[in-house]
Amino acid sequence: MNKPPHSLLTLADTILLVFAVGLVVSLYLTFWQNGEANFAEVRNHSQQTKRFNLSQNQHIDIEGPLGHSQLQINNNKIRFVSSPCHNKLCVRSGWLEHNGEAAACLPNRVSVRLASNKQRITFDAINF
Amino acid sequence: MSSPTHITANHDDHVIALFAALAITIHIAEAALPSPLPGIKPGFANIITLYVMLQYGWRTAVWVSLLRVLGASLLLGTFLSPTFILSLSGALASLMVLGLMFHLPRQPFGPVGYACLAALAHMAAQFFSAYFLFMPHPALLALLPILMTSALISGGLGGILTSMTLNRLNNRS
Repeated sequence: MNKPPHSLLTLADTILLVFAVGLVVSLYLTFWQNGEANFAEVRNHSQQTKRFNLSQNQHIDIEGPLGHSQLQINNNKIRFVSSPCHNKLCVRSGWLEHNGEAAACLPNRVSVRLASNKQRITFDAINF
Repeated sequence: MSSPTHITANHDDHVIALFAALAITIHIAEAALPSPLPGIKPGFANIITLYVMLQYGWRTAVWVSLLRVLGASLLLGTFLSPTFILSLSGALASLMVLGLMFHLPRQPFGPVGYACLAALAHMAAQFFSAYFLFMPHPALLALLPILMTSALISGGLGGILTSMTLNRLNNRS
């Protein structure tokens, strides 16, 4: 028995596809535009953390085992200006501006992480 | 009651076994393909699920899909691992969506519609299982749009292939 061939898209399929494409576009708009961080969390060698508001331009000095690490907050961004370490990986990380971004000077045991009041950061990953 | 019980396989069992074996083969062949991003996969095994649902009904498709997840995980050595949990959550979500769509009055959807929505549900369930169980990091959310785009594309492709398969098989018999 020969059935008539299906048409590729029914009316309902077309409507569904329009909504699906709309959903995907709205996902891009939602998840690729946030990353608004509003504070920086700086951690030193004794695991003490201190929060700095990103809207306040300032220089921050952190004392570590090797010496002073200097951070700068400017225009809702933060960076390592200088650190007494060898590789300067922290300084080369450049400006951090998005929620969840982080930079660290491991030799001087200073790290900074951007976070937001709206989004809670818990674990990076869990393995069983 | 000492005599052993004989279980005879009926027609449905043969259909389920045949298509589950086919789906497992495709699933394993796909596991060997390199992927640009964890989570992006063509998902051709789902074509079998969709085809079975359209030809034999939703309940048969549930069997085939779940047996595929179980069988493929045993063969790949991922049974009960995070991979398996993600695979299962995706399969369950897409089966639920397919079940809802399939039981709508007058069945308004065609293969492409089924495949697209099932693929999106599959990816969303996998993503949020991964997010809540393994990597609850906000940075992961940035991947969601890319993953959903890939799901929509592979779902559409799978739907077109299913539609072509149906047309060809219906013309032959």
